[in-house]
Amino acid sequence: MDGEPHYRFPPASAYRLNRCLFALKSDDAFRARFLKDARAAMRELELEAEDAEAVLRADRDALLARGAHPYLVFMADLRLRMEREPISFEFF
Amino acid sequence: MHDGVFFEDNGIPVATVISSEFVRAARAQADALGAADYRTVMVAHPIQPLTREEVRALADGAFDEIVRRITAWRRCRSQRRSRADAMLVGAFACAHTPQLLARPSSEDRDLVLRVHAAFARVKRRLEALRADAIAIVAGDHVEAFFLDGVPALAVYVGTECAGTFGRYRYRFPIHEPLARAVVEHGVERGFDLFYTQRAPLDYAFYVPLHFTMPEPAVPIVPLHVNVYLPPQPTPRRCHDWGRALGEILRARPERIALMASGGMSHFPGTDRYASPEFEYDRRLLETLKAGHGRELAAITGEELDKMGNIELRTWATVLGAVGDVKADVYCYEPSWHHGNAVVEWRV
Repeated sequence: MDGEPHYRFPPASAYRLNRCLFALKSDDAFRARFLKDARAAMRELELEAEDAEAVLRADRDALLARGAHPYLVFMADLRLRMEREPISFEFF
Repeated sequence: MHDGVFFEDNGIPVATVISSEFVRAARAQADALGAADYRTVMVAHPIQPLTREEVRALADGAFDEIVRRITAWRRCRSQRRSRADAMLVGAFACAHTPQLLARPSSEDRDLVLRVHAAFARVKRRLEALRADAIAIVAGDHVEAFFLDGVPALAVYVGTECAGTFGRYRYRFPIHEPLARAVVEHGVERGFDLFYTQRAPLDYAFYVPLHFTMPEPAVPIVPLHVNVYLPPQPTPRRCHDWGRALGEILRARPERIALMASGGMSHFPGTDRYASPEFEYDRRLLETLKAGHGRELAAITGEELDKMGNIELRTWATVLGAVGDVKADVYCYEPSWHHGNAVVEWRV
C-alpha cells in the first residue's frame, strides 16, 4: 500500500460504479429507490454484476479494488446507514 | 469610466474625457469602481451641437491636459492601488467536518463545542471588519462536479447558490458583480477558470458559513478548487491563483473577507480514517504562525495526499492572496478522525 496514493485517478472502467456511489450520496430519489429495490436501482445505471455485488455487500476493499473513489464509498455508505438505522444526531 | 480604470489598472495609459455635465456621474462611477481619486479631463458641455471647428477648438484646449494625464498614468495607478489595499479586509481558514454540524454519538461533544467557539470568534471578526462579501474557497466533494466534468478551479457566478446536506437546506445570494470580476480578471491574468451559474453548493462551503455568517448576512462568492478528483492542481498553482485572486479582490470597492474551507489531516474512505497525521498538522501550523505561508506552495501534491491534507489546496490559495502574514490559530482540535483548525491571517 505504501507509495500508492490514498486518492487515485478514478479509472474510466469504474465510471458506472462511481456514478452509482455518487447517486447514493447525493440523489435522494435514487437512494430511496435503492433502499426499496437495490438491484432494480442498480440496473437503471447498468452496473456490472460484480460491481453490484460489491455495492450490496458494502465491501469497501472490493469497491476500492474495482476503482471506486474512497470518498464516494465513504459517503454513500454513511448516507445509506443514516436512512436504514437513523443514527441519533445532535443538530447545530 | 469603466474602460479608463480597467485599462489603467492593466498597464495601458489612458485619459478619459468627459463634458462638464457628467462630472458628478463620473465621480459616482469612479467611487463604485474603487477608484475615487480617478482623474478625468473635463471639457465644456454640450458637445453634440458643436460644429467640426468648434469641436477641434475644444480638443485643442484640452490637449495639454490629456497629455499630462496620459503621462502620469503610472503614478495615478499606484496611488489607487495602495489606497485600495484596504479592500481585502480579512482572511480565515475553517474546518468543515460535517460532524461539527450534525454530531453523532461517536464525536466528543466538548471538542465540537470548542470548534464552534472558534467559529463564533470568526463570526464576530467578520462583523467587526464590516465585510461586504465573503469569497470562500472550498473543494467541492464530488457534489457539483462529478466525473462528467472536473474543473480544477471554478467560480460560482449565478445570482444565488443552494444545496442540501441531510436535513439541512441552504441558499446564499452570490455577490454577482464581484463573482463576475473574479472570472473576468482571472481569465485576463491567464487562469482558465471554469464558471457555473447553476451548480449545487457542497457542504464544504456550507459548514463554515452556517457558523460564521455575520449578522446581517452578506453575499458570497464560492470558489472551487479541485481536491478530491486526481489529478488536482498543484499547491504551487493554487498559490499562484491565490496571488492573482488577492490582486483582483484588492482592486474592488467592496470590503471582502477571504475564507478557506477544509483541512486539516483526515482520510475519509481509506484505511487511515482513524489515524490522521496530527503531528504534521501541528508542525505546519507552527510554520504558518511564523508567517512562512509560502512554504505551503512548495509542498507536493503527493505529500498532501500522504498526510491526509489534500484540502490544504484551499489554504494555499488564500495564502497566495494574503502573502507571508502570521497566522493566528484560533483552535486546533484533533478528533479521532480529523484535525479541526480555525485560523485567521490579519491582512
